[in-house]
Amino acid sequence: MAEKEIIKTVDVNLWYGEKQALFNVNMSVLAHKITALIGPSGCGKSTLIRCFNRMNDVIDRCKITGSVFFDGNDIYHPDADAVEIRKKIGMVFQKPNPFPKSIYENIAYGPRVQGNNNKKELDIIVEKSLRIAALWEEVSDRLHESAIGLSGGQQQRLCIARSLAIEPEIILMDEPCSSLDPIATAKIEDLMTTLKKKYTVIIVTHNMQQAARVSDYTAYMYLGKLIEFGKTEQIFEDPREELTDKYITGRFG
Amino acid sequence: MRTGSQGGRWFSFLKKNYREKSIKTIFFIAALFGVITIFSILIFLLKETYPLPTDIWSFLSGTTWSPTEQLKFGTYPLIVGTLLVTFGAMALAIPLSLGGALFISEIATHKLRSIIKPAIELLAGIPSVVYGFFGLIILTIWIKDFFGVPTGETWLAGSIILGIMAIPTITTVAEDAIKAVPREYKEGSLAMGATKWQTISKVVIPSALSGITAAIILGIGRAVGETMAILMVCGNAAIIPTPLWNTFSPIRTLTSTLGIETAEVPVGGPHYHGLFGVAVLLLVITLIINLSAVYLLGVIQKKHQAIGKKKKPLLPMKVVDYIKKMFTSILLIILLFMLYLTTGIFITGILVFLGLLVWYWRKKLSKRTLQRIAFSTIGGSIIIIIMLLGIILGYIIFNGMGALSWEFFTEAPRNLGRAGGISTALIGTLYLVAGAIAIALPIGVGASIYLTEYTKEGMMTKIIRTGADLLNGTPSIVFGLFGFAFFVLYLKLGFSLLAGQITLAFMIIPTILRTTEEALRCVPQSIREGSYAVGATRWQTIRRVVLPPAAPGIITGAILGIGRASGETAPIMFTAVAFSAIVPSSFFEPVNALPYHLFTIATSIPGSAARAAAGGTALVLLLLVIGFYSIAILIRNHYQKTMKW
Amino acid sequence: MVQKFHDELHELKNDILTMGQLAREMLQKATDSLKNDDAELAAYVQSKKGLIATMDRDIEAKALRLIALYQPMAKDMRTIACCLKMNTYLTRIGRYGKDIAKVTDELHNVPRMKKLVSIPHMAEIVCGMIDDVFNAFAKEDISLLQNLEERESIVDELRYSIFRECLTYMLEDNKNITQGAHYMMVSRYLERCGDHACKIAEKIYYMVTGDHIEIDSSEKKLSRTNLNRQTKQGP
Repeated sequence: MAEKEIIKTVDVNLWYGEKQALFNVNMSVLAHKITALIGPSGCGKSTLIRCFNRMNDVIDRCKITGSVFFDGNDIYHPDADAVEIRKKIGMVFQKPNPFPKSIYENIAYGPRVQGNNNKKELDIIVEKSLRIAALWEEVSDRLHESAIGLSGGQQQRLCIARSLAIEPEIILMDEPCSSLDPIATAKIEDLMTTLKKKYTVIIVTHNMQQAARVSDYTAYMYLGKLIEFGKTEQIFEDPREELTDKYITGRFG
Repeated sequence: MRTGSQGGRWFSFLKKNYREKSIKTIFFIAALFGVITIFSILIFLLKETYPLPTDIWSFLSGTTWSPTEQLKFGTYPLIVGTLLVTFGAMALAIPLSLGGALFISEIATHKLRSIIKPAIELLAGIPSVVYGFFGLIILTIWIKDFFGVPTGETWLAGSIILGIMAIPTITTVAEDAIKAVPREYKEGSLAMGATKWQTISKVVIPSALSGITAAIILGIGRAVGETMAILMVCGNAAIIPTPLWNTFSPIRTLTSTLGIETAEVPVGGPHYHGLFGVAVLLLVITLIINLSAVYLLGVIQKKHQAIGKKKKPLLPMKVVDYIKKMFTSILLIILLFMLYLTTGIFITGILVFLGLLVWYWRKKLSKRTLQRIAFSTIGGSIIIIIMLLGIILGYIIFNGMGALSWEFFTEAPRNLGRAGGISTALIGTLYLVAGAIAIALPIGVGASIYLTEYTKEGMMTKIIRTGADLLNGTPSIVFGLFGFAFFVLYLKLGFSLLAGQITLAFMIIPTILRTTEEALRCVPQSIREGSYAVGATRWQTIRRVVLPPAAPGIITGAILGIGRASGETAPIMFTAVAFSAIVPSSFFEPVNALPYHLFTIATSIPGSAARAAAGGTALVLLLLVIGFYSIAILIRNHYQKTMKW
Repeated sequence: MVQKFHDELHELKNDILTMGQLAREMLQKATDSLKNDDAELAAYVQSKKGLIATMDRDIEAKALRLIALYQPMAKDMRTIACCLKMNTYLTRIGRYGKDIAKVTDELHNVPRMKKLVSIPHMAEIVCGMIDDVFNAFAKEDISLLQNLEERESIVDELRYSIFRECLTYMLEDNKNITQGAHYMMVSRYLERCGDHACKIAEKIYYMVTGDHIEIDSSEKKLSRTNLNRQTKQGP
């Protein structure tokens, strides 16, 4: 089965003010695979993933050069609309950030914002998204209660369901488990394997075991540069670059 | 080279949101208006000062202020008057407020706190003209009788009233500062076996010192800017008391000068420019006071958040300590002096003796005893505060109750207010406030949304915020002067409802701007990012995700603005009011208003009938303003419970 | 734990069972080929050598991967440890099967000095032991390990009796020496397989209970309870 390249970055450089955070990153992400970005703190992996859905636009004094092609189209083209892009490339953040609304309204937010206010359709979308996120059984009887009352792990799955509700093609996950306990983490890892069938997943994680467990491809970054990219088994069993080897064996980082 | 369009899929990425752009423009216009109001006031005031009737040096140091008779414009006695009255007020307010703040935050039980704190916040809203009324009727008479002086309209009366007025402000801000000390500091101290008082005195107060100082400075600002109460109780003689510590001398401040002389001044003449000079002087003093408060509050933020670069302190630690010690001792001496002046040598002597006793023996007394002494002192201060405010409230309520009747509310005043009711004043106030809010709310909220949500933090937003803060602390009489010169004279609106509404609006725009900004900033950035990540536009994010949780804060700010606008006299005194006005039929006619009605009756109309009518008016005004403030506080407290991030 | 881990652990156990079946099959068929002088069967058994080696490598890789990625605890960890050890023992059993098949080749068309009875009997018992052990592994039921010691001692006895019998035949006639030597080796192999089965049983016992026992039928045998106490006291 030919593997389709769904995201391709070409010579991406990024500055926060005067400080350069990404140096000439060239990377390809394949469709319907889970790609993990690993590396020590401050290596630029969160910065890079936020480039994929132009979330860095929200940050002051952030400058970016180079191109990021999504299905062949450069999302940093002057005519490109960040809002439309984010409908196709969704994001789950490190700290769960449910809106102070009911569970139902959290999930319905995306479709509503796109203009769909049909109650029947929204009901279906909400249930479907919650089922995929493996949250439906736990919350189906309290959909109209506040989302803030859920536990951390449930909130994070809610945020995943929220991003699924708009049917994106790619789901970006920025350290989704780092503020969760081990059981909640396990549930989300199970979820990722399910998501792979329909979506492409890119996950940033500082937990190497998690990256090795879950991903098909892994990219190792260090100090803003992409050091090595390849199939996960190869990266973890026999990395080509010495820097990668040092990180994986825990010599530093 | 970037690639161009490639058909269907690409097209969906093209920008097509004109709606977004137009909404952004609307907010930009509001922001523009907001900025214009802030800076136009400053610029206009400066402009009208020119040419100053004398050079700057004699303006500031000349000892005679007699603009009409001797054409002398020395503001020195006025400055001294302001300083003296403020000092006296602070001597009373600072110890009581600190005690009160400590009581509320550290000693009171939860239930007690839930009653006392809102009560004191409410009292911050009592209009100054009501205080002035009380001062005129009760306090000056009492001083005259108790001390046996020819008249009670004195510096002492001004300081006492001003001190009581400043207590709620200082108490609430100081209490916030003390509450903001992280729990971990206190727990660390207690865990080492320190008593509660030791923790408070050695850990909490030093940590909260910046905030407490900021509270005091804000209280000073309040005192410096007060007009109406001073007008009514101080005697208004532009002299320097001889000897300097004669608290029974009449005195006049910068603000009361403006209050008295503005209405009669010929436009464009030297007196006119002189008054604007006084206004600018007031503005400068207010600026200095506000900037120090803002700076100090910024210091606390950095300290408690442990962010920011490590800067080398300007002065070595030893010097800073020395300065702190000097400052505290000077303050103590001044306070003692004021105490002596107000209560006489006997009481002061006893207190000093007791204080020295405790100080000397503090190592010998057990920790528990010291704590008991400290806590009873603090408890004493809160009792005094409650007593003082209770007396005033009690008097106003009981005195005015008799005058209230259906006719009082529905009939227009007759016979110069001695008979009839206050209907015209009531309606006038409602018109003024409604108009003011209709102008101020859209501009204030719109400008705030633009500045917080649409722009990045930079020099521009900092300037605007500083300008708003400056205007927030500006005495309302300055607004009155500005309204008079600009709307009544320059735009030729004359004494009109419209001029009053716009002036009031200008006064509350900065308040609404800041409270809205605070409410918006409380919404965490992660929520906004969560909304963007799902493909929402900026306006959708603001409307659906940012505004709903911020709404209570915004509404609270608006209601506080309404409350303030209803009770203010100075801004409308020279722009909109006429005592004998009837209900206006157009925007260009003058109106009567409750605060002005009260002021006029209390100061100009003799007779017991007038007194009774004044009492009733005071009560109505009090209830109105307190009513607004209560609603605001209720809303805020309710939503604070339900919103947890 | 992640669901994926449980699925993979289950797979690992199935892989062991498959390998075990293969090893047992090799052993059984090799002995049959020797009994019936079936060269084809012998060739078949020898062809499976590569498969056993591959299975060994794959199972080891899987087990190591599970440990590295999932850091299993308690029973899961013991299960994987058990699988790793069983892996080795099963490979040995399979290789013994292969070795026996080679003997068939060596003795092909050589007239048998006697009809083989004891050796097939030994093989039957050993295969029975392996079956029971695997049952215990699959069901995680240690009650099925109960009479291993007895059978082990029977196997030992059979080896000695074959040894003495072969000696007799070899002393009788020089031409029997080659055969006899081979038979002695085969019985040795089968006895080793029995030992391995016991070792596997020990590991399964450890997997299920977390305790160590020793299944040993030699003269120096100590009572089971003594052993338990000994192992618990530790160094």
